[in-house]
Amino acid sequence: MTPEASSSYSPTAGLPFDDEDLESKLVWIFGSPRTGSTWLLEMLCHPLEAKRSEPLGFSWPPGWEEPVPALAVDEFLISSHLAPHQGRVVDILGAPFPATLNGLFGRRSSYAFSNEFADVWRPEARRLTLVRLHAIVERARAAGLPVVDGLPVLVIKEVNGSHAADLIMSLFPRSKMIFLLRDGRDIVDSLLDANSPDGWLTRTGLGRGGFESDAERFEWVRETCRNWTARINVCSRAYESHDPELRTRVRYEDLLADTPARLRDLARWIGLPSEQSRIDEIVEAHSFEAVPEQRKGKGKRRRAATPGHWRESLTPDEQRLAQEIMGERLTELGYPAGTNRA
Amino acid sequence: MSAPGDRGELEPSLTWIYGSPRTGSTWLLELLCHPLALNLDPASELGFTWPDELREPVPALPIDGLQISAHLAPAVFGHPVETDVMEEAGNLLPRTLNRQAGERGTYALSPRYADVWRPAARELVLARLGAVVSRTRAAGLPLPPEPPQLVIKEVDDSHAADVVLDLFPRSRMIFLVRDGRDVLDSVLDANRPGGWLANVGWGTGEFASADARMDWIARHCGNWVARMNACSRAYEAHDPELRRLVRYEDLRAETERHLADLVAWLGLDASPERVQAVVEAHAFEALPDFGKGPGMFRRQAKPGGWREGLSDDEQRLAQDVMGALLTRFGYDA
Repeated sequence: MTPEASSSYSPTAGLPFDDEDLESKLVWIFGSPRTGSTWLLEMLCHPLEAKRSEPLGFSWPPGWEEPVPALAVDEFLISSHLAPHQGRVVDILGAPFPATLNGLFGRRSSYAFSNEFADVWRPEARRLTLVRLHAIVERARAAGLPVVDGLPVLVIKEVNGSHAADLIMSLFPRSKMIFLLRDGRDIVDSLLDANSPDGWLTRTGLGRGGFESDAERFEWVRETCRNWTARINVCSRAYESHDPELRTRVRYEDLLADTPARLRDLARWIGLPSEQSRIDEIVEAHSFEAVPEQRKGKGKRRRAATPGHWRESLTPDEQRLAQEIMGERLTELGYPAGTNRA
Repeated sequence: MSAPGDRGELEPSLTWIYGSPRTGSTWLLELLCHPLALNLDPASELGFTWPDELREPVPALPIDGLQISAHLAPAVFGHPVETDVMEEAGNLLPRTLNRQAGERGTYALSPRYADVWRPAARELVLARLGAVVSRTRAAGLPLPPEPPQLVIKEVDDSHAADVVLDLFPRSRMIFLVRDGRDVLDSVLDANRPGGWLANVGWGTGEFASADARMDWIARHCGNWVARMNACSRAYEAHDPELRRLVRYEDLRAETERHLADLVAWLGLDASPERVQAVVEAHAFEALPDFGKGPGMFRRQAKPGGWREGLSDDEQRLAQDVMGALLTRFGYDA
């Protein structure tokens, strides 16, 4: 066997699991950050609590004995490795899309992830992702979590990798996709709060810490609106190309308005237990009202859970700008156009 | 079917060029991969072409920008890695997703799962590079029976040198260093209106004000320091037998001597006649005048150009930010 390519080589040979079986257990949450994606993740993966400080990334109640059917992968971020974002938006045929390294250099043969060598890198990228995800199952079991027999469902919150939803879903055609939507204007509103001087994003060192002028804030709103539209364009492309049986679109506002019904639908679709009593218990445990006061509110990750807050927080000019950039997509996705204070 | 893990023997054939863009890295790549009489051609199926009449086996293939480094250590979303830095143990380093995510267990490339993702990432890279060799052979280029050297120019993604070299401890590293002030001068030229970077839509173009230019220079200098720190970290951790630090200025001043040393180290033909022929073929002076000059990719190949290109204030700023590292690499502060 030479180190060069060989027809007898298979990137899935020797795996300690059935790659297609594992792939079919994956549920990707794409869309946009600030859409209640952590809330949805925790509800789908009850009784696990997403905790990034934990070795597995989640914890469970002490003494829990019931088989756990779904594991939570909170911010896997494989998307950022398979399609590095270039920090800007590019217009393709008049529509904004995230600039990725793949998009910029795909036609350069020397580039690792070039189109010319897609038959080589795609199976390897798929393998890397699968072995990494399977390790979570193994380690959860080893840590004493009573995981269901066989392979559990793996719910992967990847909203911060939505710029690569099309690539990821094309690599995993047997997996499921949840396209999680929220009014883009509320997302801008939420991110404004996160980027305020006391906002949670600022506290992590990644936020802006406020704005020095109205003009600076206005430009930031413009970029954020373009980013949202670009991400939604990519997710829409991924969604439309995916098997209709394996995709679903969820609006945050609908999930908030009738959580038990929407959650039951999702649980059934994924193949998770969906008895009403279980669903009700989950919804109650994860309601915004159940979050301790000190862990929610202005400047915190869990802020208001109030659809339409943008009408109060965005200036008339910002609302007009948002409408101009996001309006077409908002209308397509069922959100009312227009402004409030214009 | 054979499983991954069979390609490890390709690893000793890999040579990574890291350091910084604008250091003569394309020139060095061409020097090392001669006598391919290569034509680096990004649009071709392999990224390079060769004359039909070529008959002698080619011992080294060029990979002009694999950019796997940008995949293995990408930027944090919305924070371009080429302009964002962070401190770690008192060192300025590029802000990569890996560094930002830290030990977080759910993160795909978490250190907690290094035993899982590292072998898979290695396989991805080796499979991809192995395909270059097999396709080159299939395309009819005569290669030696054993794997040829693969020289990978990865300077644009030097922020991840430590991550990549750590994955490939049996590969070679060329740490290509150039006076950071000349790098700055060259990048400013490329970014100006009409410069080659501006012409492809990636340059800054005209700065809005003198302050904006100074801010940009400060960020560039900080980024240069961060990249060089990442490369230094990779270099210091690598097997001394498998690493070389090359200063552009030395390579320019005594090309034959330094090239002979490098090709011998790589196990390539280092006969004086061969080295002389290669150097002459790729000399800056041999380039036609229309292919070099201000604003072009190949500009002036003139160490110390920063003394004329940067204003006094800009020189002071560069010194403030880069001074300690410049001294460490043997440049006059």
